[in-house]
Amino acid sequence: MYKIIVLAKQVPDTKNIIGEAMRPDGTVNRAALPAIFNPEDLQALEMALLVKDRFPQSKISVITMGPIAAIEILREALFRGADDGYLISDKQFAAADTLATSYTLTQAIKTLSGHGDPLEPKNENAIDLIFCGRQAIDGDTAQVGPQVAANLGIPQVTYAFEIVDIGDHHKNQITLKRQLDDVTELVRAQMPLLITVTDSASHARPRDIRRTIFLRKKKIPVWNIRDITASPDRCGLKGSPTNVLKINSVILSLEGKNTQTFEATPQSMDKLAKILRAELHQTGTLER
Amino acid sequence: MKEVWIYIEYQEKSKQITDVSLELLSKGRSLANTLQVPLAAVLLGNFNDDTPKIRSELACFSCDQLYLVDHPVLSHYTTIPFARTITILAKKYSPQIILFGATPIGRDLAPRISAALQTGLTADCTGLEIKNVTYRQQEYQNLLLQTRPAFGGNIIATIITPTARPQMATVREGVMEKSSIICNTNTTIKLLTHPFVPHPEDQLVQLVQPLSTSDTDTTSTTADTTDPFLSLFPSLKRAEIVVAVGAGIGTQDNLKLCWQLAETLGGAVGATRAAVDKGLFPRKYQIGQTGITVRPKIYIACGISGAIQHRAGMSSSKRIVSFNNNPDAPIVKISDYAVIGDLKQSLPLFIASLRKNI
Repeated sequence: MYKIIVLAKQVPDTKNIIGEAMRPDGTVNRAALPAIFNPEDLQALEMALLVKDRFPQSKISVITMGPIAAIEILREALFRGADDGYLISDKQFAAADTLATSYTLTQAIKTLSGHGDPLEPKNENAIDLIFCGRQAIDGDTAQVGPQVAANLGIPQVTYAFEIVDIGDHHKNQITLKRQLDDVTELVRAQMPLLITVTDSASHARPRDIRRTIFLRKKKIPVWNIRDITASPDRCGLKGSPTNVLKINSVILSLEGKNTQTFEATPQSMDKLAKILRAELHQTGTLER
Repeated sequence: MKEVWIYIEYQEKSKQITDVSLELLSKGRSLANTLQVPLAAVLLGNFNDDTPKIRSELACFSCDQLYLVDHPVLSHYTTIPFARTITILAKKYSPQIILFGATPIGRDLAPRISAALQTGLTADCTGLEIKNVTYRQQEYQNLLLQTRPAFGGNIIATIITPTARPQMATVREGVMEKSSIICNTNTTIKLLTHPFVPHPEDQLVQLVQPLSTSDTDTTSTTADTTDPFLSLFPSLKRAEIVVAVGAGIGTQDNLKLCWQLAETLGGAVGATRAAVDKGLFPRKYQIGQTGITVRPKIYIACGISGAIQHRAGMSSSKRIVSFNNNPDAPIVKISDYAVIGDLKQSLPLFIASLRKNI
């Protein structure tokens, strides 16, 4: 059996910007976007559940940092098979960059392992595996996983998409496939280990109906800054070395370009081919 | 005289410095000139006799200094020994800026180092400049302004690291221009070799075997079978003509028409995220915010609606041509030339016209 933690984030659904989420001036109204379980975090949960399928005594705890509403994704994780969820929530965590976020999550992981050394095998709450998505779709930084691993002083395997074997040769050994740009790597790692899961991994299983009925009202612990004995100087905006100097909205209304339209007729296609040919000549390139 | 550092990615097989590292050296040179400090390259690996060649190549990019760590353990990139070594170097020499390519390696390595150094890291920057800044009533001299798309590409944020040092950033491939090389053979580059001290933790993660995409059966989509075929087209990254395919392409026959079009023009082929998700293309052909950024002379979009995430990766193309049956699609609005209608009709006609003309 393995003691597993999944780090998850509730994010605005930036991939489906429709309807009210678009302001008349072409900018995005972030508040109007639906909040969802970050897709790769859901795949990280699935990878953890696959370990539990094989070793049913394993325990999966899901941790998220966010506002109270983020409890929704913890409940979602319970419905799909996680054992418990912990919401890390405090005003002082607001506006955290990745360094402050990873510090806060590290403190939560340490708290979950009973304030004992989360890596000490003799500690019965010691952690074997931490799974998280490669990146969240609102920030796309892919930093928090490796930073948590660095804070805990454990190795990391990033961009994993499949567990090839676990515990087969040695209880604390795991072999994974990871996806780099155009190659797949097979790596063997010692636990405790942090794994970031990429989008080519298996998709999450659906909710289990029985769990959904029985765990609907399960109490989910909410931990504040004192509960995880975090230093306020290292949390939220205060603990963030990076600051946002300014934000420019990308204007989605696309006025101003003089689009010339063509119909699908031989004459107009000849015309377009001629134009493009002239332009290629002009810029001095490309003829076959 | 706190230096500007560039982490150099070195390809073991081809024994070459990667393009993104060369782009960063160009950018780093201009940042270092503004700051009037030396530009240094940081290179880890197992080089045997290749160091003189690397030194002269780096000198071509007017790099002043090379921090070299050469050891058999470093012959293949693994996180822990690389992160530990660069952390030690950074603590010893206190650079003011460290830049990494936003590659799988850079994105694995940089956050680990930023946590160890307790400093800020900005991911996937598309712009970098040095400026004096007033932030919260405080004045800061010569800060690195780091611009990056966020929120799925819907906003562009400018990030600063006011007090923590070094200021760290990863930079997307293809967004910085690689300056033309005027190689001054008289340029000398100061070499600082640094010893590597192995540690048992270096063995915690081990590469069992690298598998090329075509060797694996893991993504058993059509993508894998088409990959050897697709690789006959020119490389997407530096292509001057790109034919890109979206999920709206429809039938396999239409897809073939796109390949014919690319072949006729001698162009590269690429795809949107939606087309990749459908299994029409392997992921490495994905153009857009989470894929490759292209800026060809002519970009031809076939069956692409033009979601913001896709546009983020192609909007600086010189000319945009779109083939689409929906006149209201966003891609039409950013096109210079838009062909409205069924692709099954328009593409063969267009290919025929091109063949006639050329």
